Amino acid sequence: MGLNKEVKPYVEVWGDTVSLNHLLISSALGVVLTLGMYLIGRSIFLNIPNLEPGLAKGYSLLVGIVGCLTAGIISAVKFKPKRIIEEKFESSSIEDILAAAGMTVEEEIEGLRTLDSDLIKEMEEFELYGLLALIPEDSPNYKPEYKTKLKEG
Amino acid sequence: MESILLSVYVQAFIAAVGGGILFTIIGIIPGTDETATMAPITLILVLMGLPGPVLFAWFMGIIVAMQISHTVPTAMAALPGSTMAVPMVLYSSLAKRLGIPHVAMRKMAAGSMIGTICALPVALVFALLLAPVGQKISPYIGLVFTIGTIIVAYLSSAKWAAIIAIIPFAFLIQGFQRLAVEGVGHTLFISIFMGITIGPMVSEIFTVFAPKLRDELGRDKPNEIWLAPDVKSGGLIPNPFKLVTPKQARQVALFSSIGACTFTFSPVGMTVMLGEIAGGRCKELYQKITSALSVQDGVSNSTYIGEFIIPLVAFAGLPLSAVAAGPGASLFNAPPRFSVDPLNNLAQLLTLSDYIVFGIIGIVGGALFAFPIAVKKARSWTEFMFRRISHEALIGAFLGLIFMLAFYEAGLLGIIIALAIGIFGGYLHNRFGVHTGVQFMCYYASSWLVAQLLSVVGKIV
Repeated sequence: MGLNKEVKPYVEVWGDTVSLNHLLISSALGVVLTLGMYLIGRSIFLNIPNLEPGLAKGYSLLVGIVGCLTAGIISAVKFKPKRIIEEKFESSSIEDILAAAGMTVEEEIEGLRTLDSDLIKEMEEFELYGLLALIPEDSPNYKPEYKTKLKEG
Repeated sequence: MESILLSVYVQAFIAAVGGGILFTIIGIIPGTDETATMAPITLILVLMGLPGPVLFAWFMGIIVAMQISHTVPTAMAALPGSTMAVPMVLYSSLAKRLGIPHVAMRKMAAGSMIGTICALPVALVFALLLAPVGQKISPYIGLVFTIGTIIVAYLSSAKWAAIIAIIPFAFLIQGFQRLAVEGVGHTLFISIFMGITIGPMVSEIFTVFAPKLRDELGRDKPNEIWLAPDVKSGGLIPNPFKLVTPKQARQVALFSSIGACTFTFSPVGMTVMLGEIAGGRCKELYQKITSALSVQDGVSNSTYIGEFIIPLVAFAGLPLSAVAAGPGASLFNAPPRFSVDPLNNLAQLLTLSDYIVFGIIGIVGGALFAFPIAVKKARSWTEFMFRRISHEALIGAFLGLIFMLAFYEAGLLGIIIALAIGIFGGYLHNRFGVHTGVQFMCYYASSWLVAQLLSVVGKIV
């Protein structure tokens, strides 16, 4: 920090990386189109005589949702995802995820030591070796292959 | 006679399946509010004059379908598929980072099915036997939620800090409620709830605008995401009990049965409270995520069904619950066909056996489309989403929805309140670990808590 004055190209917002400019444009587009379509819908439906006000409001929300979907589609076409789909799990990120859950690695190790075998089996099925490799050797759940499988990916 | 009866069953099944398909789609759209979507469409069917049992099956069907399909965006993008899914956002975002969003979706869908299966009999039995006792609890709802908030706060990583934070946050909420009453004439729900939901994101964006803090969130390269492999879920219609561990199934059944009886509480409040209790008891991350999510969707479904059925069976159709007064309102009061005074609504059109038979028709019809799709397509949809749909597009569309719903509730004031709650609550969540679950609970406790504190503090001048 401090020495590097260059602005980083990505920002992490809500658990994923985005480009700040793209985010601001998509947000403006989302708000303007959704709210705009809702207001247009409302001015049309509230002026139809004999239409229940509750129904008119419901219809206006549907028009707004059309605006919302349109904004989403435009942004999705214009801005490509800034994520890389990995072929194997990076164990280095475990610490960050645990921190986001309000946990420490030590707590996780303790939890894994006494975890149900049913849950361990599920974690094996989903190849969660990043977590399984943390199981301490003195636990009945410990298997040496977890660490090798984590390296192989 | 026989053919007329038969046609009622067929009509009910068609209504449940049709409603199920429609609300599967509505549930997939992020942020759609139940009351705003269920109430108007149900009103149309009531005014069209459909028979009582058909209306009952329809409403059961759309509850079940929406409670399953709202897990799709919640799990895939951590964007709530409906207001009821809001409490599930935190655990879903953890699942997404761990590479198991499709597992999260499956756990929620299975929890939802188990919750539904428990809810119908439990709610009916409770309505018949224990409703008078239930009414005695209602004066203490504020106290119950305050104790719940303290427990949930202590279970969070912030511990005592979270407990201390309850008081300023409750005052903040009640302060905004007072402003809302002055500005638009009623208190707010959607705006505050959505404000808490988007809080973590709003405060991050806010941080980016402060040059001193911008570096914290800056990244040199895109996020790397891993997606866990799929496993076979067996059969055309998967068995929900096989998608969770036996222990989780028992836990979901227990909490859902409690939820089905708490008809005077808010369904979202019960989902937050019981979900946090289930998740807070778990020491391990995978166990925490999957247990909390399956319990949450189970409870949200069972509380919803309980809140719909109990006022009908136990109170002859007096809309005494949040669901009966909100999304289901048109089944209780829809002039000229239904009215509350004198009582003439769905309750007068149904017998006890109707509740059982058409309840089952509704559940089966509603789940027929939503459940297999949520289970079988979970991973392929998630992968498509990851590869093709940018996070910017999701956030943009979601912000649009929040702005519209807040505006719908309270105009520009609703938007301002949602953003203000978001900045403060998001900072509490991101920086101090006072997570959004604690904040949702605080919303329910705030009215009673602040009134009690004021009555004490007000005397000391």
